[in-house]
Amino acid sequence: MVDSLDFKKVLSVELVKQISSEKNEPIWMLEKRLTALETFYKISEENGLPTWGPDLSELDFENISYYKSPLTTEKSSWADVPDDIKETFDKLGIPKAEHEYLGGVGAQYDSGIVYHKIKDMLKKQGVVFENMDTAVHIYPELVKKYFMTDCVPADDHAFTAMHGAVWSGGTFIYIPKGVKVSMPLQAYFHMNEPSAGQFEHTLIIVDEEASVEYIEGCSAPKYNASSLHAGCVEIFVHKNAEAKYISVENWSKNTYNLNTKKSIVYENGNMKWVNGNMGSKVTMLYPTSVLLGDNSKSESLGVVFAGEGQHQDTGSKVIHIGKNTSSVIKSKSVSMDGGISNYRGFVQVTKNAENTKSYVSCDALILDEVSVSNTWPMNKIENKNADVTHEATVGKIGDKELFYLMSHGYSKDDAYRLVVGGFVSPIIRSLPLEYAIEFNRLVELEME
Amino acid sequence: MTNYGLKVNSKYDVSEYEERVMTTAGDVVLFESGVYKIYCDGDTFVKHNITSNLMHIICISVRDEIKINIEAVGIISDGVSDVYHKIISKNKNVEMNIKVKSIADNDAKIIYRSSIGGVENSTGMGNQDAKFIMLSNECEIDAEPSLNLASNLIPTTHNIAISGVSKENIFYMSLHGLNNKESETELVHSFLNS
Repeated sequence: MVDSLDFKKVLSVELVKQISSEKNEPIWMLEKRLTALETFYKISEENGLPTWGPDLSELDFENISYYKSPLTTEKSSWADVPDDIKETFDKLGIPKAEHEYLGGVGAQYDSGIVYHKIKDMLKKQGVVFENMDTAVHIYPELVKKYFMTDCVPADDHAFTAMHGAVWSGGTFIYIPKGVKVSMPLQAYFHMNEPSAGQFEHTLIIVDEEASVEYIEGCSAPKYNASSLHAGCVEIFVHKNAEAKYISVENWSKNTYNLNTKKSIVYENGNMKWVNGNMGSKVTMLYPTSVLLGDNSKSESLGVVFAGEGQHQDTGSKVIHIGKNTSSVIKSKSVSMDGGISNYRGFVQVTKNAENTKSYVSCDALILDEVSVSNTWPMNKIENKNADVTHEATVGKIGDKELFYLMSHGYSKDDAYRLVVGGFVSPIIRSLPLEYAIEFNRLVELEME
Repeated sequence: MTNYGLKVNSKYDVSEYEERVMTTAGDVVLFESGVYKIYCDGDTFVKHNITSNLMHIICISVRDEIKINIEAVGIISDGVSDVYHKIISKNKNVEMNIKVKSIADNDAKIIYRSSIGGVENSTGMGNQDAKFIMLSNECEIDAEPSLNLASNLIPTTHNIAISGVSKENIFYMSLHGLNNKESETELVHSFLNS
């Protein structure tokens, strides 16, 4: 089905021009979109869509809605957001979280940002936390320099090219030199329409000596038709800076989640990824760190649940280029009710990357006889002074552990939940407390 | 074979090798490079040297309650070594082990891929352990150990370690009167023989 598709009819020049025109974009952004569109046509014609991962043949490209305006403009007060949209985010606890512990919040509904606000004290420090659509107009020099240039070029793969053509909404963050943002910033993305496509773009620039923690959440109601999420996250961590990116993705189980996340880390920079993947029908997600600068570091922690009808193909990539760089990748996955969970990782140590240290650990629990777990870590080492280790375990919950808990009064189901909770807890601990509690609740719901 | 969208470079074209199929049990020592498919009808221990050549070995169990081991050792000083080890359990209580030690020097390249797998309803256990030492900055190691399990009754682990010769160990040996080259030689021999 996919091979015979004419993508020029599915994703047209007219659609891309319409998106750009509705956003009143400068000509350079329209040109960027059109170049990405040409790249998408070229890649899909020459290579087709990737076949090395989960099956994408049921993704109905012809019926995806590539752009759906929320029919409301961005507001900075929840009172001004239309009731039906506000109700969605109320149920998700976003306004409450903003009030209690966040430094800023962005909320996206289908293709547009409906709410955006940053606390005054951060504004006074020069922190920029904007809707990406707005940033194109207000910060054109920064956007031209960083948007889909060095980090995630449009020709990375078919879905980055698609994203480059039809991206809409998302977050732009700039942290000035020396500013350490003390409260997390958050964005929440909700796909409401059936057959929705969401292509938000997150661009985070952490200038020298600065630091930021950023959280993304996402959800969508379940429909029979498939939805597509092909977002993109680009993070630049400059000299001596730190960035922590946390994402809890709980898309509905008809969603194809084909997200691209990548960071470039400069001298002495530190990048931390924390990803929790619960939902979606298919996820293909490999947060990547390019350790360009000497002494730069990256840590990637991931938790994945694959339940009935789900195929989670996730992992992490690190490319060591500078000297004395180090990376840690830890992944925990749980497969149950026929779910398929794959770890797919890549560690590269380039020729001049002296004294690299890299450690990868992936553990998988298969809870029943019908579920599957695969582990495919790749290591490409070109420098003899590297120290690279990888270890993985796959297994089920031991009968002894279950017996021990049941002999202390736990039911079998509770014993399972407890053991699984303990299995993923080293990663959950990296989340802010409120999100750790929420994530544990989601885990329990999945186990029921 | 999964290649993550990257082509694992090998100068060897697998299609040029005729697949040699055997059903056997016991010690199997392979000298000639090539592609081997071994149906294991009992405890099977496959051994080979790692050389600048292609060696693809696939072992498949055909009986319950057996052990399948693959061991490979070698030093490559030039050329490309393309090694692929795969063990599949289709039975009950199959113990699968892969152990590899190899050293790359000069401009040698080692491509190492492995897979331990179990089909639905199979049982047993698996362990894969691969260690590589790089002696020069011109050599390269591409390693992809993988686990492919459709059964939750095969607890499996795998480990891979890639490094140079430890500078601390060389320093320790130099304190005992050996020069750098002698220290490195001793450490390499010790690594391969341990």
